[in-house]
Amino acid sequence: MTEPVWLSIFADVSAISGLFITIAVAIQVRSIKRSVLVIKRIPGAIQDLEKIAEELRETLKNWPGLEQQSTSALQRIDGILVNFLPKLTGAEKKKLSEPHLLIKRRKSIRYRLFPLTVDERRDALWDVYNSLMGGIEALRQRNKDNKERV
Amino acid sequence: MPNDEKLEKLIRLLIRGTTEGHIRWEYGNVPRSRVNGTDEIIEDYFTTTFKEQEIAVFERRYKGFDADNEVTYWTSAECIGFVANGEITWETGRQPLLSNLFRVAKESAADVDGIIDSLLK
Repeated sequence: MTEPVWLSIFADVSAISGLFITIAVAIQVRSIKRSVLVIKRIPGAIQDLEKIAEELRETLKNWPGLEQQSTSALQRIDGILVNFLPKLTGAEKKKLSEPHLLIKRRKSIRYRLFPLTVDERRDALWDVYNSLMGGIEALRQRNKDNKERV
Repeated sequence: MPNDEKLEKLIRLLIRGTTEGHIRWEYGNVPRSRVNGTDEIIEDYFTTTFKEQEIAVFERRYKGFDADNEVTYWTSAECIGFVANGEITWETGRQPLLSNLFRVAKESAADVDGIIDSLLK
């Protein structure tokens, strides 16, 4: 006995739509996995960045005596942000892009060709510090939201 | 309501001035009118004069309510305010950099660096 035509069409449509549903579910799972990873990493990132920000403030407090220390602090900030920024979205991504871009600018050719004066370097470092504090606060808010959601 | 950006700029200036030692904060007494008739506790209250304007930074501790679990809990928020004739004429706690300003003001009022320096002499 041959199966009805409608049943074969129904089977084909189901198979095709099943494929799309599988892809959609896979995308969803990936995005959930990613956001869970980010949620887990936020408290640690806040702590690390706060510690570095405090070192930067100490450098600025004792300017220009401790200027050399700022280089290592900036490299560590960039190290964290290069890895962490692509995982973020929304306000915290925007806020943390600022210090990242400012640090990048400090490494630019223009900066190397026309070195800044001691005072200008201090101003530039204050900009990085202020942007970093803004970014840390955005992460704190996200962390709060995450806790409330749980 | 003042512009948020302008207020943030002022807070940044205060943080920078305090860190660089141009601005000094002192422990102050909380105006009674600020706490009378409220459940709030204000223990740490610091003041400074910046461009002839007295400014206060303080931490208000207050009870919050968790509607899901129906419990009250203690929480806190840092605030900045303008002071005239010993009274807070305006205040806000809606600024991201306030916790940072509060910390540097507290450090300045306690003269942490001065104490450490004298201990190391």
